[in-house]
Amino acid sequence: MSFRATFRLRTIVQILGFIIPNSYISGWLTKPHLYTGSAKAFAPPILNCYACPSAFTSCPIGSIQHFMVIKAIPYYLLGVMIFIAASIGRFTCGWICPFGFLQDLLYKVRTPKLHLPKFLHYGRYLFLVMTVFLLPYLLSNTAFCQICPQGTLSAGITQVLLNPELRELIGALFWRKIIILVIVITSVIFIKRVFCRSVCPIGALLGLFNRVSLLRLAVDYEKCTKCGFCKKICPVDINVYENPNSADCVRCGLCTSCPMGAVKFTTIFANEPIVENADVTIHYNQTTKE
Amino acid sequence: MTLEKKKKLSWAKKNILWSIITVGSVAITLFGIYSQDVREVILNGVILCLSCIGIG
Repeated sequence: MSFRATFRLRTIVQILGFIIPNSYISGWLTKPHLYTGSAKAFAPPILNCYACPSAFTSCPIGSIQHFMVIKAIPYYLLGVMIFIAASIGRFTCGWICPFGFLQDLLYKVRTPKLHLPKFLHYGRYLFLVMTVFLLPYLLSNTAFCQICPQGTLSAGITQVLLNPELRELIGALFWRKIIILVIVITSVIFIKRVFCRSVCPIGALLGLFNRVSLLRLAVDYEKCTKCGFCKKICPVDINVYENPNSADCVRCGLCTSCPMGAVKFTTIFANEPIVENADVTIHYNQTTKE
Repeated sequence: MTLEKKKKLSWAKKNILWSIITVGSVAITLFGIYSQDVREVILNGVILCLSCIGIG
């Protein structure tokens, strides 16, 4: 599939990924309220705040924190997330997550672009352990929700605008969340998906399974010329030919439109002559020469 | 050990690991559904989440 076709298909799916989990329109009409039906018990691995009036589904990170607050292990939520991660890796980050889509759109703003320092990539693991598991367990509060920019955007601002009585309750926490949202939105204009790569706990959890997921990327090093096309178009700035199944990879598939046809989607069962690691290729060539 | 054998072994290891993770995650999910009132906890969280709005 060409780059343009992959890009268009992905954009359509991202728009649907934004609309479908937020299609409870009656939450906005008459007296604003939250949907509490059966679908709300499902928490797809995307960052979409469940306190948004139109949210049909739950946020897995928010729900995990509530399990930790009541000192219970979130078996169901972790099981579902690990199953999805083992099947498709971070595919949902690249194709469905509404906040990822917002970051992709904001990065299109024409400004000088910056690269994310390597050490900040580990930040998301810190956020996962500290704000999703440890602090909610120890302090009995939803620590990540208190800093989540997606929650501020889709629940905080909208709920405060829709409910006059909530405006009277606004305090330091609300303004702190607004400041965090402004910082995140400003950052993503300059750095590709900076939130996904350095903060998002969902990405951290899903990314752990990228190396062993059913759906994976493979590079044919006989075709690869290391032209850098894949890195240029990658929404998370990966050198695909160096590490096609990096924990950062959101499985967007844009790199599969490689002009040399060197990158393609495959499965973990495929045992083909495509070598996945550049070092292995060198070793393979040396061995065959010997 | 030849390179071909090493590659096959690595492929087998990945497949076994993937199978264990997949079966394990399904088992964890089912255990969660049958041992906890998942719907109740999640919906309580949704109703109580003032942190999301920023007024908690």
